[in-house]
Amino acid sequence: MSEHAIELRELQKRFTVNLGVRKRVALDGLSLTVERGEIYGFLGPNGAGKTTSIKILTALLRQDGGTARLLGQDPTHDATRAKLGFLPESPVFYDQLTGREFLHFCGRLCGMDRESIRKRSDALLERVGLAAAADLQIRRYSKGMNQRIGIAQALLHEPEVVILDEPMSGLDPMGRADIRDLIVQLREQGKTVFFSTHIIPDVEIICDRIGLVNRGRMVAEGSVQQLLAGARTATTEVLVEGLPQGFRPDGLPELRATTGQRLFAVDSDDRLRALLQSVLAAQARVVSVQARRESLEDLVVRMLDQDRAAA
Amino acid sequence: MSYVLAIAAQTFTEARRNRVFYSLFLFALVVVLNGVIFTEVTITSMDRVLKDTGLAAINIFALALTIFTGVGIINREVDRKSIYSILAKPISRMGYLLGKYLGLLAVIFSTSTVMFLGLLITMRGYKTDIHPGIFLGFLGILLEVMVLGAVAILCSSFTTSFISAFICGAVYISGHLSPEFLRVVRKSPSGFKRALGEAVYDVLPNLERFNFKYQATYDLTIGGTALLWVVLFAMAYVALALVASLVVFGRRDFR
Repeated sequence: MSEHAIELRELQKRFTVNLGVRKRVALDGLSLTVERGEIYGFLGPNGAGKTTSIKILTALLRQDGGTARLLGQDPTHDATRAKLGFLPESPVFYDQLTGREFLHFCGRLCGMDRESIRKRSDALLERVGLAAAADLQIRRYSKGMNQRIGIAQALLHEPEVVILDEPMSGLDPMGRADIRDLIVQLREQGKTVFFSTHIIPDVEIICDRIGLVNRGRMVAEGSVQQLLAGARTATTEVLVEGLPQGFRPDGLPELRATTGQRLFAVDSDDRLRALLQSVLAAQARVVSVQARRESLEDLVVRMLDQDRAAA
Repeated sequence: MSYVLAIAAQTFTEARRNRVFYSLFLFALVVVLNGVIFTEVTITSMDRVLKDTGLAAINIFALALTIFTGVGIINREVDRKSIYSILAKPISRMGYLLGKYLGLLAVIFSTSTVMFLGLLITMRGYKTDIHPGIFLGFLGILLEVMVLGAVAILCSSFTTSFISAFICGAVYISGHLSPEFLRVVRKSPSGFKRALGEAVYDVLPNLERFNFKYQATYDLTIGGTALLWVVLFAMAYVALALVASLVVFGRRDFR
């Protein structure tokens, strides 16, 4: 039980492009560990290497270098993948089958008996909100319903580790909240959840730890609190009242203007000083001065910008 | 290995619910009905025409189904990415290929058998003797589609449906012409051309080995040993094609 749930070490992967003339680096020494019972959010822009890493963990791709371990074992072994549940990005399933038939099929692939498949399928169809559409062919499912049946098939055999590639994609806000709840429930059941996403607020709400990947390398890793400790004061908002009609501070964005009150945003101490001096000179009154810290989203964007600039 | 049967059953269900399947079945039924019409307008050898056209209809149907279903059986799943969630399950790639192949055979064998039974019933209706030769003719068709199905799986494991269909069509045509090809090649004065031609002949399946329509039409049979060799040849070719598929598919990256 001492092994990590997921462990990637110095993972390398290159793809040939332009008929093999050029090679594109997808993973460039990516390392990360996910502990058992943890929810790990895997963040990064398109082409950062998230899906490539996930495909190596699910034995759909083989790495050129480095190691990938799932519960301490090689994911290319069938026995290792028996403990894995996987939802691919924008999943497509056998559309001539009904949702229930598809789950039955997946259960048989996982070596489950008929009775266990029936019980688990009924429970999961109910849980993901597809009980009423269980006997409808998958080709009649909406994108959100497809995503839900995908989550059900990933959880059918009660895997220890669940890997979800963009699980919130295609879901409405209610659906997203539902999947967030489901992921938290999985953690409460002692399961490990590793998911990739672009939706940073979801990560902020449910993840124990986050990994930010770019250009095939880990840019930052830690808990939300650890990462936010590095957040800067992004802007200072100054609320002023009693300014004369024609008052226009140079180059300052004005966030809001109501009768008698105006809200300005400044991004440096020098500009703040200049604004306050001009406001006081105009014999207006400063109602409040409030520093706004970077959100996780701002922080992620800044880190990625810095990483790009460093390249 | 129960998952192999699950994959076979899923392949069968998917194919059975596909509209193309019914179009082909309808086409084959029309061809069988044509046989009845030909029989009605033929002055002599009514039973031979019935057997000829019936077996030809079954053969065309089985061949079309093998190509239409077989050539896209794997690459369609790769293109649509439905393979991702399946191969991430605790199954081997060999098991997946085998399941797909068995599912393909289940589709072809079951529908061909229904048509063959239809032919036998029609023959009884015309009071035609049912000689073992007709069963031999049908077995030949099944052996041929077994081989072509394995070739389709091999092609489907690495290339597009269009190219797979082209290769399968080429294998079918050259497989039936290969005895003629060998005869022509052996007349060549160039030793190199003879060796090359014989090598090509060895690689291509000689599908004429499975052609028992003459026996079916003229109520003939072949010896047990000869039949066993034909069956073994088909099995060997199927095994070879499936192993080659595994070599290609087993190493394949799914980007």
